[in-house]
Amino acid sequence: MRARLTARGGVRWVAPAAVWLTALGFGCAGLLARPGTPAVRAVIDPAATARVTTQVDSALSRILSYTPQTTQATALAARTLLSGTASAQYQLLFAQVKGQIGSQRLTVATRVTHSGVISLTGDQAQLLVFVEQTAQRQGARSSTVQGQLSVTARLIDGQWRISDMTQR
Amino acid sequence: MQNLNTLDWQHLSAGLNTWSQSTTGDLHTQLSQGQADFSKQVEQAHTVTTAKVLAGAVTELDQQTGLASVMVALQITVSEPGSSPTVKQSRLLGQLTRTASGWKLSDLAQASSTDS
Repeated sequence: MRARLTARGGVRWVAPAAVWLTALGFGCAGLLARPGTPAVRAVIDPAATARVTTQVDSALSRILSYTPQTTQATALAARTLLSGTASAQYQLLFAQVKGQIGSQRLTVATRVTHSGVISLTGDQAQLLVFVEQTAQRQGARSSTVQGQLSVTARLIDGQWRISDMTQR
Repeated sequence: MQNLNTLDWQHLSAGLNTWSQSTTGDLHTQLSQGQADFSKQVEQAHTVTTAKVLAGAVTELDQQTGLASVMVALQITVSEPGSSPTVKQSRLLGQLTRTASGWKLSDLAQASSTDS
C-alpha cells in the first residue's frame, strides 16, 4: 500500500497508520461477501443507523489518533472499542510500531469525514467510512491523506465495536 | 456513479447517452450543457475512462420526497494512447432523485481523491 500510494503524486500514508489501515482488514473480505444477508435496517431505521455510525466514527478517530505521550492510552482504548480479529491485529501491530511513534516523535490525527451504513442487522453492521489523516513527525511538515475503510461492527453489551476493517 | 465515470472516446455517443439516462435535475442539465465541449476534448485526447465501484452506502433516504444521499468509493482508470494508464481512487457524494424510470443521480460531488 505504501509503495502504491507513494509511487505517484507524493501523497503518502505515514507508516504506522498505513499499517493499521491496511493490515487490520485482512479478515474482512469474507464478511463482506457473506451471502444471505438478513433484513437490512440501515437508513430505514435512522435512530439505529445514527447510533452505529456515531460509535464507529468515534472509535476510528480514537484508535487511529495518537502522540508519543498517549500510546498507552490509545492501546487501552482500543481494547474496549475493538473486538475479535480487529482487536487481535491491532494489539499486535501496536506493539510493533509503538517504538517508532516514540523515536520519530510521530503524531497522527484521524478524522472521519463521511460515513454510511451499508447493512445493519440486530447485532452486526457494515459501514463505509471516508477518513482524513494528518501526520506529523517532529521537525517535519505535516501531511494529510484521505482514504476509505470498510468496517464491520458488532453490538456487544450495548456498544458497537469494530470487529474488522479493511482499506478499500 | 460507475456509469458517469466511464467513457470511451470510440463509443462516445453511447457513453453520453448512458450519462443522460442515469441523471436527472441539475446534474442532467449541467451534463447536457457541457456535452459538446467535453466530447471534443475526449475525442482529441483519445481517452478511455473506466470506473469500478469499490464500496457504496446510502447515507440518507427520504421515501416521501423521493430523495436519497449516497457515498461511493470508486477506482477510476484513465488510459491515453502513448502513456501508461493512471489509476485513481475517488470518493464521491451523490444525491439520488426518484423518477418515473427509477432512481437517478441529481447531484454529484467529490469528497476527496488520492492517486494510487
